[in-house]
Parts: sequence; C-alpha cells; structure tokens
Amino acid sequence: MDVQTWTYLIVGLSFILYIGIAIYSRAGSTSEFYIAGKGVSPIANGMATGADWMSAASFLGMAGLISTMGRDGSVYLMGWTGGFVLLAVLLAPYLRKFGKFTVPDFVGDRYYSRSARLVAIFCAIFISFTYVAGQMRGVGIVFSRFLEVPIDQGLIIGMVIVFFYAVLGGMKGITYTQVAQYCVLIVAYLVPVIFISIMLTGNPIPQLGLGGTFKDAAGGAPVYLLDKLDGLSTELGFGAYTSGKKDTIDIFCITMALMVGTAGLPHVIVRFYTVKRVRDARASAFWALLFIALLYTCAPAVAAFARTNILTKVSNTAYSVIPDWFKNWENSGLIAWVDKNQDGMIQYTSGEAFTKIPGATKVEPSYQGNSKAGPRGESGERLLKNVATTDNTNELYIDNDIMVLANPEIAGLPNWVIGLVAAGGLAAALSTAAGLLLVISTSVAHDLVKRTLNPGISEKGELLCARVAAGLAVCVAGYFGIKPPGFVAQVVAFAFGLAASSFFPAIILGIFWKRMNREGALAGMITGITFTTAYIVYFKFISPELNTKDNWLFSISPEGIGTLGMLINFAVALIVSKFTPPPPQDVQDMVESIRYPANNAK
Amino acid sequence: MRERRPRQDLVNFGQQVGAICSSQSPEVALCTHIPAFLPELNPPDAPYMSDNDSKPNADQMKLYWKKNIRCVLCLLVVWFGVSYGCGILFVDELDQFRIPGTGFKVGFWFAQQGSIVTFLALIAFYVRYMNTLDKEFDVEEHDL
Repeated sequence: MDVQTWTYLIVGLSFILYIGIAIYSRAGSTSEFYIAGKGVSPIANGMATGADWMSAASFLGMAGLISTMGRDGSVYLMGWTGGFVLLAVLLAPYLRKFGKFTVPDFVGDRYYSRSARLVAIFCAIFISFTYVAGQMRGVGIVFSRFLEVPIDQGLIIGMVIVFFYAVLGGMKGITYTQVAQYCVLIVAYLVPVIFISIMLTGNPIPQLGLGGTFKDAAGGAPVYLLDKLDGLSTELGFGAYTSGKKDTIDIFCITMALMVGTAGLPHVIVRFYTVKRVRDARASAFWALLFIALLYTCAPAVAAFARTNILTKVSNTAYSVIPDWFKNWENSGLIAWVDKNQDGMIQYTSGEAFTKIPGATKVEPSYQGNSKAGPRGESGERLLKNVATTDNTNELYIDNDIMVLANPEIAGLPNWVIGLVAAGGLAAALSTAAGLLLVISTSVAHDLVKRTLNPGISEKGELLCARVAAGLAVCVAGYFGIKPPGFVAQVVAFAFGLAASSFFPAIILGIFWKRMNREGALAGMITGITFTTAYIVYFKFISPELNTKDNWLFSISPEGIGTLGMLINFAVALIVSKFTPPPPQDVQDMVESIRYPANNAK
Repeated sequence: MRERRPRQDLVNFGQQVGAICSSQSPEVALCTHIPAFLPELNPPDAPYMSDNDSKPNADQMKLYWKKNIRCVLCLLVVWFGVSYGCGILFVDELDQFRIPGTGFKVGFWFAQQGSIVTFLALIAFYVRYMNTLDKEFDVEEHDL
C-alpha cells in the first residue's frame, strides 16, 4: 500500500478510537466535566498530562530547533521539563488538597477577592487562547502535509473531532482520549528514532546512541558521533554543535521563564485536581515527567542524528543524485534550494539562503507557479519568488519540522511508519488543544458564570453552559487557526511569560506564606503582567527593528523576560503585603489545612 | 490498595540525595534552616487551627511541615544545581571533561539529558519521602 492509503488508514483508525473513548466516558455531572470526578489513576493521569503538555511544537518542531541551535537547544529541553519539579514539590499536592475545580478558584478563594478571581480568569483565558490557536494551526499543517488536503479543510476536520470529545466528554472524556493519544504519539516518535540510531551508531537506544560512535559507511577510523558533528559544523561555518552561542544570562532567563511558566499553565495545573488523593497528585507528577522524558531525552538524539544526516548526505551533493526524501519535502515547501553559483551542487553554510517575501512574518520559500510541475531550474529544482541573498554562500533552506517528519524516509522505513508519524503529530496537537479548550470552558462556565455572575445557576444549567462555552471556544480557536493574526507565532513565548509573571508567584506565596494578602497578590499580579506584556509588545510589535541584544534590558530577550516579570511580581507582592492588613482568620486556616493531606487525630 | 515500589536505582539515587541533605556541606546546611524572610514557616508560638482543632497535635503538625519544607528546599538546591549550575552557568568548564566511554562532554550532557534524568529522580525521591512522612505523622488519607 502507498503512503497516502496507510496515512488515511492509521489516522482514520486513531480518530475512531478517540471518538469511541469519548462516547464511552462522557461526562454526566459538572464534577466529571471539570475534573473527571476525581477518579483518575496516577499512571493514567501521568499519561494524560504528558499528552496534554506535549504539543505540536514539542512533537514536530522541537527537535528541529535543537538541531539548529546546538547546545543552546537545552533551553527547551530543561525549560519544558524542569517545571514539573516545581509542580510536584510546590504546587500539585497543595492545590489537590484545596480541591476545587480551577486555578482562578484557588486565587479567588485564597485572596478573598472578586477582582483577583477576575484577573486570574482573564489570564487563564488569554494564555489558553494564544496557545490553542497555534495547536489548531498545527492540526491543519499535519493534514495538509500528509493527506494533501488544504490547511483550512484539515483544520475543520480537527475542529469537529475536538468538538466531539471535548464538548461531550469534558475532562473525563479528554483524559482517556489523551491516554490513547499519548500512546500513539510516543510510538510514532520512538520507532523512527530507534531505527535511525541503529543506522548511525549501531545502538538501538537513541539516548545512548547520541554519545556513541559514528558508523561510517566509508569505513573510516571510529569517531564519536558528536565529535563528527562538531567537525562537520565547524567546517561549514556553523560553529561547533556542542558549544553555546547565546549569552549565558539570556539562556538562564529563557530556561527559567519556560520552567516557571510550565508550572503556572492552567491546563497543566488542573490535571492534578483529577486524582483521588494528595499522594496520587504527587505520584502523577512523577509519571507525567517520566512519560514526557521518554520523548524529551530522545529529542536531542533526533536533532543530532538529523543534523548529521543533512551535513553528510545533502551538503556538497549534486541535486541530481540527492535522496528522494529531499525532493518530496521540497514539493511540500519544507526544503528549498537556490543554486547561487550555478554549479548544480547544494552548498549549505550559515546564513539565510534568501530574503523573506514582503509581508511575510518569517523567511519562508514561496514557489513560482502553483503546481509541483511549476517552473523548474536547470538542475530540476523548484524555482522561488524569494530573492537570493548575496552576503553569504548558503543555498539551502530547511524548515525545522522536517527533522521529525522526514525521519521515516531517511531511515528507509516502510510506508506505515510515515502514516504513524502523521497520526502522532495529530495526536500531539489535538490532545493539547482539547486540554486548553477545557480550561477556557471551565473558566467561563464555572469561574465567570457560577462563581461571579450567577451563583444560583443549577447543576444542569452550569453543565450546559460549560458545553456551550467549549463549543464556542472551539469555533474561536478554529477561526484563529484559519486566519492566524500575524502575532500568533510570536505570542507562544508570551503565554509562558504571562503564566510565569502572573499565576506562579500568586500561588506559591498563597501556599507558603500565610500572611500573604489580597492587596499584595493583586498588586503583584498586575505589575508582573503589565511589565512582561509591555516588554514583549514593545519588542515584538511596536519596534521589532530594535529587537536586538544591544537594546534589551540586561541583555534578556523577550522570550526570557517572564523571569524578570516573576521577580518583580514576588517583590511587589511581598512589600505590599507587609504594609497592608493580614488576611482574615478563615483564609489563614484554609492555608494551614491544605498543608496536610489529612488530619487523622480525632 | 497494594503499595507501589519505585525502581531500585531511583531509590538508591534518592537515598544519596537524602545523604547529601543530611551532611553539613555549607550550601546544603543553608537549606536546613528556614530562611529569615519566611518567618511564619517556623512560627514561635502561632496558634494552630486545624479542621478539627486538636491542640496536642499542633506541635506534631508544625514538625511535619518543617520536615516537608526542609526536603523541598534540599530538592530545589539539587534542581537548581544540575540545571542552572551544570547545564548553564558552569557548562563550559564542565565541557572540558567527558563522560568516560561516550562522546558526551559533561556540560553538554547535563544540558540536554542529565538534567531531565535528575529531575525525574528528584520527584521520585519526593514522592517516596512524603509518603513515609505522611505515615509517620498519621496525616495520610485513607480510602473512603
């Protein structure tokens, strides 16, 4: 069977599975809709958290990013895993003991304030929407690449699927679909990597293969893969792969913002409300990180293997003898080549091969003609509308997603593996989108309607309201996915910065400092968000031309500024609290009670 | 409910972390004292109010919380050390050495793999430590 058939078959089967699970485990009450009735086992919750957490960006994009960033790619590896330590030891057990439904619930109750609850609702919805738009786009992209349907149609199929199980199943439904989605995505990620690891290093465990010796087809002296890669990269002017290029302080701040942001993201936190006991919340954090680490420790191996393949098999090779996968992905627009010196060979060095099309948000190839047959150059390559740059000799454009997408073909694996990778990419995007949509729906139905606007609403009314909100959220997210406002790509880092500078300090201080009061929390959250937003908006939207190291505050990039925002939040909150009255006794008692899983001395 | 046993190697690592925590090296000794800026974590004689307000139990509860905080601070020191220390601040110094028998430079390994493995071990230790502590102080939840 050909790739297309396999892909339709595997993706179709996985969708039937998700819908079947959703029907089987649909929610009957608000408690089931918001937190799965607190009946999820720690292992299942760990898997669901893993799928919830790992988005299309983790599955498709991260390995490519690491591959171009070299050692600096560690900001994502450490940043997106280290937050789970903070979650496990500082947040999860206490929030579980608190035991309501949402993050705004905790903020509102702990700070005995409607305004604090409203600020938290606003942050939760804003963070979730910025994040979910990117996921819906990811669904559309996977569809268009593997099934050759237009991005918009693919996105609508994705919306229908998510609508079905998020609206019907609520948290209970998405938890068990996420478990299935985790299984699909991890198998899809690991199978090609294991084969590539065997191919390049002879070691079936990619994590060890990364440190192993390079199997040279030409039979040269044995050399470590990383040394080989360092040598090749240096030769071509990229600098050694295992050395860093960014400023230490920037790396430090980006990593911190991502870690703390992870710990403050509402769709991750809410997963810890779904288990039965405090000890299960702790155990869930362990399982979640274990399942995430399985993919995250492979990612640097994928990155290094893909880089080695490109530098050995593509660089300085004639286009006429290039492997088939190169041409396949050129047709999809993920690889492009301009033969600057007209020698028919692909030169790959540092720098951009061509400039961006006027009006585009980033450097991307735009082909002359609309069909694959379209105008071709002398060697047979697709011709571009982009203008070639003259200040460097680089001729090659490679999209980051290619490092994962092309793996099965590079490893010469059978067609069904390609179908599996497509299903894996969709699972990663759909599971994260569903988790985020649920946060939006819960924030509207529970926090806004039930707790703020209309406390007298019936259980049935609230459940209906939650479903309507989830449905509307799917439509809005889909709309943003189809017509992405130019800023969507820019604001994902924003979601983390915002989570780091708003929720994290408010929750931590709320748990660990009984004296922390309403005034301090509000002042802290508002200054934190304002500072972070202002900095990002200034460098990303108002004056993007000034977005260089020389203009940054303490040479911290907008991606890492959430760290500073968080410190400001902490400082303001502590100072304001000191000068304002302590919280009422019942709130202090509540803080005391969440510190112990139970009190059995009766 | 059957008790779940963590993997032996993780447990061993956890015990090592525990050993480090109880040794008195200067930076670790820091975390055995509650910092002054969080005075109420260690209140001199603050009234304790619990759900059922049982007085003799208050000192026990304070001790439980103190042990919890101490464990968390120790874990966070290690967390910071492997990621920000080995993986970022001292990565170039560590890169002069290699993990024997592999192509990994030590700093690079910590930055891309070692830190993640350590994070996992830290949570495993925490889960085990807190479960024991819950039993010791009789604050564990019983099945309903």
